[in-house]
Amino acid sequence: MKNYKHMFDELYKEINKIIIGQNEVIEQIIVAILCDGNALLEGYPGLAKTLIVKTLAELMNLKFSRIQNTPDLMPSDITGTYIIEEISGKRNFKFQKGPIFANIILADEINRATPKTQSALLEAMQEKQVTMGNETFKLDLPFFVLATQNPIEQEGTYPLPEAQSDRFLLKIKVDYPSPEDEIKIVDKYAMELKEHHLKTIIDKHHLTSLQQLTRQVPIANDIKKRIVNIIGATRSQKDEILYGASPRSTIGLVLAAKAHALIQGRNHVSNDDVNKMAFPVLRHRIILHFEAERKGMTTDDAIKNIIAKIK
Amino acid sequence: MKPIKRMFKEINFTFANIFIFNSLINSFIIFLVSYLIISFLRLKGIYAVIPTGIYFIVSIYTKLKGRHIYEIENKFSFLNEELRTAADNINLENPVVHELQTDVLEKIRKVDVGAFFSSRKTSYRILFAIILCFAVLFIATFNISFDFKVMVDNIPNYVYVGGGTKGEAGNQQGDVRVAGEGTTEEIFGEEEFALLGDEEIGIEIKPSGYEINLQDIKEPRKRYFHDLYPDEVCVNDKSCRQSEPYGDELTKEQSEIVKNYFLKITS
Repeated sequence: MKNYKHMFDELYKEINKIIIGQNEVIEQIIVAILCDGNALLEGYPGLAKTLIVKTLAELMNLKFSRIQNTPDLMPSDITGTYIIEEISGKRNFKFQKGPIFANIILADEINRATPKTQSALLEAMQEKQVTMGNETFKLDLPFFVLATQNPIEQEGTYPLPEAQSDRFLLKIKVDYPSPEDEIKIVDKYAMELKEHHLKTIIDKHHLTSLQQLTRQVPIANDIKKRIVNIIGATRSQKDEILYGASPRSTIGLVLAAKAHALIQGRNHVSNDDVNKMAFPVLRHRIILHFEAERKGMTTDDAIKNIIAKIK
Repeated sequence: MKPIKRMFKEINFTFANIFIFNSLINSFIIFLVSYLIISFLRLKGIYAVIPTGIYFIVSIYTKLKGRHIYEIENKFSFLNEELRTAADNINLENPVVHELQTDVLEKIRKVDVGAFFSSRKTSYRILFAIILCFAVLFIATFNISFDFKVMVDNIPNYVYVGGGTKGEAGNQQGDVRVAGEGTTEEIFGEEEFALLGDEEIGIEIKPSGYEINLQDIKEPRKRYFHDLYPDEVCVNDKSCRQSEPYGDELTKEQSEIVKNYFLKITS
């Protein structure tokens, strides 16, 4: 386990050559990747969301593609389409693969795409395959979708329905960097023009074995029970929460806690892992009561209360 | 057997020994305390076994049923969550679990059994038990007890005073039970004369709490009884006559008189 910890430390070191701060965001993205899940990044523009994902893809030697979602984006623009190809005077339909045929997909501003396009993307996320007409195309593995959405400028957007957002393992909040980090960012990008050469830390096969290893991290029964109680509390706390989390989130929280333990170089899941991962796993899966929202409560506050209550 | 399984078996065995030992000492203390109270109240000493037995069974049951690994984790934070995870996944076979088990086996060596057995506490308990033993001996030697019956007998008289009659609803206002008030006639009835032998003795029942003046006590009156039995005693009773041994002690002359008397009355 110490070797893995060393490996992840190396990964952070390489990322920090490009990204300053945002360590928590990076950690949570890696958790999502280790769990073979997808992540929804929410943050204001200019917080290096795209850069983080691009850098991670480079460090893991994964094929990266970016989809900029707009209201006129069609499902075929993502999945691909059949084109007519002429070979020696004979015309045939050939499937032209879309940007979804990559290992890491950055779906920028997913809430700007129409529900039809969103569902095409989410179907690919879930099934890891694309069906066009009568043919089914398997997507390259590993396959992750890292979608971003902007909390402002909600006009002309199509917010993800709860059923759709439940398919994302984590909802990662990207916050502004600290003033110290911001000074470093300015120094790095406004003072010099230096190209950084990143070395590959994890390759495709290594990543697949890490994903298997994540599932093998043991968890104590009482921690498992606590996770179930936390999820159960989101359903029973009716005064604050209107709709609680699904059993999918229970699986998600166990997996995320395992991945977090692995990143920390631990060979067992601890309650700290659960406490830390509960926020990104649950924040998009619970809907607050109107009264709670009126009081200025956020989903993170509700999760915090539940965690504090269930020891 | 896997080393990790052997380790957990050993942990359970060690803890069972510690619990049984502690429970035995505590049970002994409970027995002594119960015995002390029971003998002070003049009840049967065997009753002290009841609370002792209940405590012993309950404590052994609850302590042996609990998970000892939590106690180890609480005392040795470096094993926190690790030990229970290893215990819960004891039958799982994968590289991560194997590494965890190796780590646990290595760390458990730093665990000292003495940390779970407080010699200071045990010494205090044993000392307390010795003190209790002496207390039991002291009570038994000097026959110190608390007689519940005497206490009940010495409860001061309670009498109803006030306007209301007992049982009359709505007319109970002012009824107060006052100790030591009223006359003894109300509870003991009128003074009566008891007949002892052929003499009438005047008995006056004193109210409870009455203090005896030792100066008032006189020497008991001497009584003289006559050797002659009254006529109605053993005259017509055959069995009485047969059992009387006085004939052996009479002189020949007196026997002759008696014989003649009996012949005279039977003829």
